[in-house]
Amino acid sequence: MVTLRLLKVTVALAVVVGLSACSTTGSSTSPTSPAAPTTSGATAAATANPYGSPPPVDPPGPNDSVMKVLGGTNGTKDYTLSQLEAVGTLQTVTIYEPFRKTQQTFKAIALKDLLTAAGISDNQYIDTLALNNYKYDDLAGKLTGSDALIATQVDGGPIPIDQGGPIRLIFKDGTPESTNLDAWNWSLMQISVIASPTPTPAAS
Amino acid sequence: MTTSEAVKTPGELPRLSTGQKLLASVVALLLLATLISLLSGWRTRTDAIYSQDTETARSNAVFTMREGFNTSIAMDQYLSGAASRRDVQIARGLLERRLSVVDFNGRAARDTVPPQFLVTLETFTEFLKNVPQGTLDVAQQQQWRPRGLVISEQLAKASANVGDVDSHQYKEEARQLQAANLALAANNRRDLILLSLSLITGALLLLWLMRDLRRRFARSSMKLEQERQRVREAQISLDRSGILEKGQSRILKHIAAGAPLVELLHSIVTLASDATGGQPFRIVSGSRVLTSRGTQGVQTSTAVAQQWPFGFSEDEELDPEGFLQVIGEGTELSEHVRNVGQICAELASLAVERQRVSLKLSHQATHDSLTGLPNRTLLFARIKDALLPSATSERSVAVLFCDLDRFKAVNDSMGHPAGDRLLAEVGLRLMDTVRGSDTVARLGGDEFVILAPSLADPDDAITLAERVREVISQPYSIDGKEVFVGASIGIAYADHDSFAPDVLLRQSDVAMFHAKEERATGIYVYDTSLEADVAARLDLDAGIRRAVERDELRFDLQPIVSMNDSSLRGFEALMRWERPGVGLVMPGTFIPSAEASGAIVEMGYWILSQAVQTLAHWHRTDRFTDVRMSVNVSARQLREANFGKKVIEILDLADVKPSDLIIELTESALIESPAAHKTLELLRSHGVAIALDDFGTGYSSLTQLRSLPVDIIKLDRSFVLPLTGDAGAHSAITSAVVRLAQAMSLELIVEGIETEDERERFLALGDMMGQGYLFGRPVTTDIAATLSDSAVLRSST
Repeated sequence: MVTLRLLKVTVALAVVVGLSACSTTGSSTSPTSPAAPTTSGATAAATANPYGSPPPVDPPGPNDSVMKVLGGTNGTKDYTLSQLEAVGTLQTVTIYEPFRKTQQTFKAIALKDLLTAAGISDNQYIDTLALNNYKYDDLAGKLTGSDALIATQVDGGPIPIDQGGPIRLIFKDGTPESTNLDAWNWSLMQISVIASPTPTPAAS
Repeated sequence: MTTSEAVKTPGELPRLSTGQKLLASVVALLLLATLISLLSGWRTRTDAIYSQDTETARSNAVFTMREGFNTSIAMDQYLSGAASRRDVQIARGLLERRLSVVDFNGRAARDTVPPQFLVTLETFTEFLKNVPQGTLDVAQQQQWRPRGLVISEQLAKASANVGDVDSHQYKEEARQLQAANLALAANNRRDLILLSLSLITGALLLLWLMRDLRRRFARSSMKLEQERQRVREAQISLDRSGILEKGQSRILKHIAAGAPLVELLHSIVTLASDATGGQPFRIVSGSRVLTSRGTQGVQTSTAVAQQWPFGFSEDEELDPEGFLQVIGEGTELSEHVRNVGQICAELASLAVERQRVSLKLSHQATHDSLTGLPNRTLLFARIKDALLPSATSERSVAVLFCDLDRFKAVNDSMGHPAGDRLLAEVGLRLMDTVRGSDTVARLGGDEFVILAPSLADPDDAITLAERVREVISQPYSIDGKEVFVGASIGIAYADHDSFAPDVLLRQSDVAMFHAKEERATGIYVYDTSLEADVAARLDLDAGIRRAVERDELRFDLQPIVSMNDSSLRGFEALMRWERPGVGLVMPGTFIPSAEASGAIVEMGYWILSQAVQTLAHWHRTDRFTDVRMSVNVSARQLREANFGKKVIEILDLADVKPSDLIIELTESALIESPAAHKTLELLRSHGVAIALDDFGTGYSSLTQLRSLPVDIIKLDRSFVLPLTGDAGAHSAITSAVVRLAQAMSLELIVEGIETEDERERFLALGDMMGQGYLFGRPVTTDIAATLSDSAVLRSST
C-alpha cells in the first residue's frame, strides 16, 4: 500500500517538475526542425506558392554546356546535355528520394564514368558545385564507392529546379552516402579536383 | 528462538525504511528533473548555437537578395544577347527555391520579404514568360530591352530592399537570441541547483543507508553471536546429557548391585549437580542431608528453588523417603535442570525401593514368616556371634531346644490354620518370656530354639526352661476352643572348647529328645553320653524303615481269659522285631521311632493281616473258634484314608468274621482323632469291636467315655498296682470305673494281672476278663495254638 502511494506521489511530482521545466524553456524554443541544413532545405513547402510555380525552364541549346569538369588529367571538359548523357551508359534507376521521401525513377550516368573520362582518380578530393554556389567536398572514391550518379531526368522529363534540377547528384539505396543528405548536391553544374577538403561542408 | 530465523537474518537483503524510500523518491525526482532540464536546455542551446553560427533568418534574406540580383543580372545579360532565356529561367527558379526556404523562426523567406518584392517579382515573371526563347538577336534586343531593363532594375531595387526591410528583424532576432542566452544561463543555474540538490539528497540517502547497514550488520553480528552462544549451550547441554546418561547407568548398576543407600544417594546428588553444570543440589531424607560437591557455601541456605519427593511406598501410604532439592533463591530453573531433577529423583526412588526390597528379602531370608521370629540361618549367625565373646568371658552360652508336645494332635484335629495360630501364639509367649539379649528362633514345625548368650550361671538356663514350659503349658484359645500343649526342652551349653553353632544346636536337639522321654520334668541337659543314644536311635530309625520289606517282624500272642474261670477268650497280638545282629527288639523300643517315621502304618497293616490270617488258619483247623483277636492300631494308622475299608477287606480276604476282631486304640488316639470316629463306627457296624487301651494312663475321662465309640475298656496295670498301697481311695476309683463300664454295657479287660490275689480282688467287683502273666505271657503263634483253656492257667502258674 505504501509503495503504491509512493509511486503515485512520484509520478505526480515527475509530471509537475516536467511541465514546469517545459514551460520555462518553451518561450525561447523554435518549433521548427533544426535538423536540415539551410541550403538543401525543405522542398515540401515549395508546392504551396501563392504566386504560382516558377516558370518552366527551356531545354538547353545543343551547344550549351550544362556540366564542367576541371582538374582531371584530361584537362577541363565541358559537356552539353547530350554529351553528358553519352558518358558511360545512361541508366534508369529507381531510388528512394530522401527529400520528397518517395520512390522516384531517374535517368543518370555514373559519376565514376564521368570522373574516369576526365582523368580523376578515386583517391583525389573533388568539389561538387551547384548553380547557387552550394559546395560539397569529399574523396572521389567515397562518392563513387556509394554508386554516386549524375541524374538528368526524372519521371521521363527534365528535373524541375525546385526538385534539384536540372542536373543533380543522387545515390543508390543502401549505400553509405545515401543517408548523407549534404552529399545530394542539387542543381549540379561543376566538378573540380581540389587539394584537400574544406573543413565543414556548409553553404557559403 | 528458531535456528532458521537466526541463520536467515544475516543473509537478508537490507530493506529501505519508509523515510529512505521517500528520500530515494526525492533523489529520483530530482535526477529526473535534472535530466528534463538538461534536455530542454540542450534544445535551447542547440537553437542558440545554431542561431549564432548560421543566422538562418538573415542568411535567408541575404541569399534571397543575392538570388534576386542574380536573376536581375541574368535578365540584363539576356536583354543584351549575352545569355539565353534558359539562364534567366534557371536564375528565376533558384530565387523561387530560396523563397521557399524556411528559417529557424519557422518562416519561409517568402513571408519575410517586403510585399513590394513579390509584386515586382510577379511582373518580372510575366515579362519572362513573354520574351523569346534562346538568345535575343539585335532586333529583338531593341524590341524587349527598354521594358526589360526597367523590370530588371525594379527587381534589383526590390532585392536591395529585402536587406533593408530585414534589418529591424535582425534586432528582434538578436533580442530573442539574448533572451535565449539568458534563458540558457537560467537553465544552467537551474540545472546546477537541481544537480546539487540531487547530489546532496543522494549523499544523505547514502549516509542514511550506510548507517542503517552498519546498524543491521551490528544487529546481525549480535544475533549471530547469540546463535553461537545458543549452539555452545546446546553443546554443553548435550555434554551434560552424556554425563547424565553415563551417571544414570552407573548408578543403576550400583543400585542393582545393592550398594548402600547413603552411598547411592550421594552419587545421585553429585550426578544431578554434574549434569547441570554445577547447580547446587541436596537430598534431604529424614535428618540426613546430602549435598553435592562445591555447595558448601550454600549448604546452610534453606532456600529451595524446586524439589522432587522420592521413595514413595506403593503399598503403604507413607511420606516420601526424602526430597531432592535444588538450592537457590528465586532461580529460574531451565528445563534441563528440571529434567535432571526429575530423573535423579526417580533414581533415588529406585535406590530406596531397592533397599526396601532387599531389607524385606533379607528379613524373609532370616526370619520365619509365620511367627516373625529369626529362622535357622539367623539363629546360626547369632549363635556364632554369641560364641565369640563367650571364649573370653565367664558367662555361659546356652541353647534351649523346645519341641511342643501334642502339637501334632492340634494340627490334625483342628487343621493347619489353627496349628499356625497356635505356633504364632507360642512364639509371642516365648518372646515375652526371654530376656532382651536372648534370641528366640523357630526352626520349623513345632521346634523353637532359645539362645541365651550370656548367662551368669549355667543353672539359669534350667530356670529359663522351666519358665518356658510353664508359659507354654498355659491353655490357648484357638477358634474358641481351649487347647493345651506342652513343651520338651533340651539344653546344651557351649563349653570352652567351643562349638560350632550346628554342633551346639544338634546337642540341644538330642537333649530335647531325651526330655521327651523324661515325662516328669520335660527338661534335659545335654551330656556326652547322649551322643551314643542318638546314634542308636538313628540306627534304629534306619533299621525299622526296612524291617517290613526284610521280613524281620514277628508277633507274639498273649492270652486274654475270663477271670472267673480262666477260660481262653482271646489273644492280643504283640509285635516283635527280630533285628539281625541284635536279636528280638521290644515294641517299647521301636514303636515310638516307627510312629515318628511313619513306618508304623505299614507295620500296623502287617500285624493286622498276620493276626487275622492266624485266626483264619485256626478256624479252618477248628481251633479256637470262639476266640477273638486283639490288634493294636496307632493313631497314625487310624487317620489313614480308607483304614476301615482296608480292615474289612483283610477280614473278607481271610474269611474271618469281623466280630472276631478287636481293634485296640489308646485313649489319646481316640480323643485326638475325632475325625476317625466315623471309621470306627463303620467297623463297629460290621461287628468289629473297639477296645480302649491303657485306660487310666491318659485323660481317663469317665464322662468322655460315654461319647467314645468303644465296646471294650482295657484297664491299665496302674489300676492294679496301687491297690496294694492306699487301698481305700484307689479301690473306690477302680470299682467306680468297673461299675460305669458295667452300666454302659462295656466289656472290661484288666491288664497286668500277675497274682492270684489281684485276680481275686477284681473278681470281687464282678466277672470280667483279664490279661497278664498270671494267665500267660506272650508266646509265639505256634505255642499259642497248643494252648487250651486249662493250659493257660496251668502255664501261668
